[in-house]
Amino acid sequence: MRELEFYVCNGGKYPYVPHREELGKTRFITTPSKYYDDLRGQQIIEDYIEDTVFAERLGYDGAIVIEQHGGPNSLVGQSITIAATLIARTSRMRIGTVGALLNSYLSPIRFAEEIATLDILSRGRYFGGLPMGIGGNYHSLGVMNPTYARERFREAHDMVMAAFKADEPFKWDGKFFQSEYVNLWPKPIQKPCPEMWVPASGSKDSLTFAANNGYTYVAVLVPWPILLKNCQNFKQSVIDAGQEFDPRRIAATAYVHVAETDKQARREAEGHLMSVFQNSLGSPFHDSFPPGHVTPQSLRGMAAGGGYRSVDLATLRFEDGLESGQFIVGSSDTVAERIEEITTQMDAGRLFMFTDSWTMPSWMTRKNMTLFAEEVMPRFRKRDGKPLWDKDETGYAANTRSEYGARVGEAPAVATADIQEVGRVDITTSHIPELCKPIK
Amino acid sequence: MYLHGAGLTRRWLPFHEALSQSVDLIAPEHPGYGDTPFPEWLDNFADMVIHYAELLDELGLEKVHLVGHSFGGWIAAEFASFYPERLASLQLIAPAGLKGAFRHDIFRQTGEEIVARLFNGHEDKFPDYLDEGDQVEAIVHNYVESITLARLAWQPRHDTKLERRLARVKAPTQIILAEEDNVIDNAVAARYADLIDGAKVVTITSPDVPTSHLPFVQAPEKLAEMISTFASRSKE
Repeated sequence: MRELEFYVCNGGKYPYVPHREELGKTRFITTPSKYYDDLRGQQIIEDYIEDTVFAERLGYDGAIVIEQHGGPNSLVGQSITIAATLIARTSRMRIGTVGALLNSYLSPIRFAEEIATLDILSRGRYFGGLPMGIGGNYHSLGVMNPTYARERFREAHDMVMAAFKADEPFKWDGKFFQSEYVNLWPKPIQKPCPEMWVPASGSKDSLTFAANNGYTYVAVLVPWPILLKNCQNFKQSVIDAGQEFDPRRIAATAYVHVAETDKQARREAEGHLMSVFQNSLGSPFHDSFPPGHVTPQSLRGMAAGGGYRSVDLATLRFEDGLESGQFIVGSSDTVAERIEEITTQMDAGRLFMFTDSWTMPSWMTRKNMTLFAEEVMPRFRKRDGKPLWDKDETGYAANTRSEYGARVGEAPAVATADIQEVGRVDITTSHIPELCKPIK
Repeated sequence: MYLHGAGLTRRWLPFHEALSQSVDLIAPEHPGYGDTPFPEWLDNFADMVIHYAELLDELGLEKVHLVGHSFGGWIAAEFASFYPERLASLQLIAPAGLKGAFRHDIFRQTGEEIVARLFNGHEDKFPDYLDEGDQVEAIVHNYVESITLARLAWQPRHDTKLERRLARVKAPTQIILAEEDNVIDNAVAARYADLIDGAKVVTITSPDVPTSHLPFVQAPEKLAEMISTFASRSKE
């Protein structure tokens, strides 16, 4: 098996809104906040925090907070704020943000200050992200003209990096930002700055940007063959930039759900995953792609079919998600095999995994996270199932669930009980209809 | 000089033909529209206005009768406020530019919604205007044109300075409204007449299908005649 790092990313979505077909085009950007319920909202945010903190105990290498705005897709979309809380509530696991949106700042230096502060608060466990922002953000945030998205983003990035590297105040005279005195205090612990992850749908330009700057490419939302081509292009760009390629430079993303059997996993996940397609990702063209959000060349590819989001995601079936690798759902064996297959083809060294399918209740999310940590993660780890942050010698007790899974071995006896009309069953699996059979 | 709206570029319409029968018609495509490439320097209306001042210089024209439709009406109004001395007359057809002019979010419309709002449900009577040729190329082309529009009009969707500056316009001015405009709010467009001294408001009508946001579709000859008549009277 390959060696992989595992990063949990939960959705924290507020699901109590009408189906997209009833809301029409307003869903992504203007879903009325009358559907927001204080009590439910509070619970979703607190569950999100607790479940993510729980990931450390299970032995995940890290957790990621993504950025979302202007709708029910996530109540924890202020990635910087949420990361500060997660950092305070954990001590060893890495905490990253794929946010904030550089283009949402009037001064990119504010972003640099936040990154530096998170890095200090976490004592160097933090990593950042540089997303361009989905189309809907440009409609709703109100500070960004999408026709300048790429150009302004790049200038903001250059300004932030210059600030991280400078030891003296300097002047910035750009097209979008001007400042007589750029002077970053405090400075990040990791030099010159924390690792950066860049989500990219696959434009050559974005891949080269991530490659040249030494960033991690987060492979998002594209059909499988195109994704593989993107990975190859990214690898090539890394090599062309004179760097050695490390698989950890590619993070595969997937909705991952493990249960006792393939059938049970599907029973648990299908509704939530179909909601992702229908209610979360699918959106009309004009919302996904405000003017200038894609290049005319990319659009031509999409319009001709086969390109990035040439199909309305809302029309996809469960099997389509499995086939494209967006959904990895099944027993621990099925899930491990699929992860091995996908990450090998992509040559990815990291898995960025949604473990709550955005809308699962906390108890189901935790069940999934726990089974995954115990039964799947150890297969992709060398050191007794330890996450990268666990440098301790192996002791009599396991530090994490993943280490437990790696070391535990077969039980001395099967835990059993007699059930009416079935007989003596293995009580660890007898709640699953297809496993509820008499043992020999 | 006739400044087109945000679409229907790259074609000589019956309206152009009718208008050119009675006047010397200059009908340029805006930078970033039709076959005219989007220039890197184009950031705002001032750039667009200077572009048209340079075009007139190039053509050796000191003054013109300026006509603009919709987004082109906005550009014409901006031009008029920057260069009032270069106008023999000004005519704005269903013009954008003032606060609240757009009745819908112009950047959140499906193709079907756009057609419905432009033709008021009578699109089947005007198939020639809807034939855009190759589907893929049409999608890309319309997207490229929307980038030009967004560059100038993403936010705000009006010019906060225009109201004050329009007082500079002294040339005879006419605001032409459609009977049933589902794109521009007629009441807002009519406000141009309050802001420009002596300007008048007229409505272009059509006996068969009431005029829409594209009155040159329903009443090409009548609109052309209305425009040329106003221009020729303004010479005196």
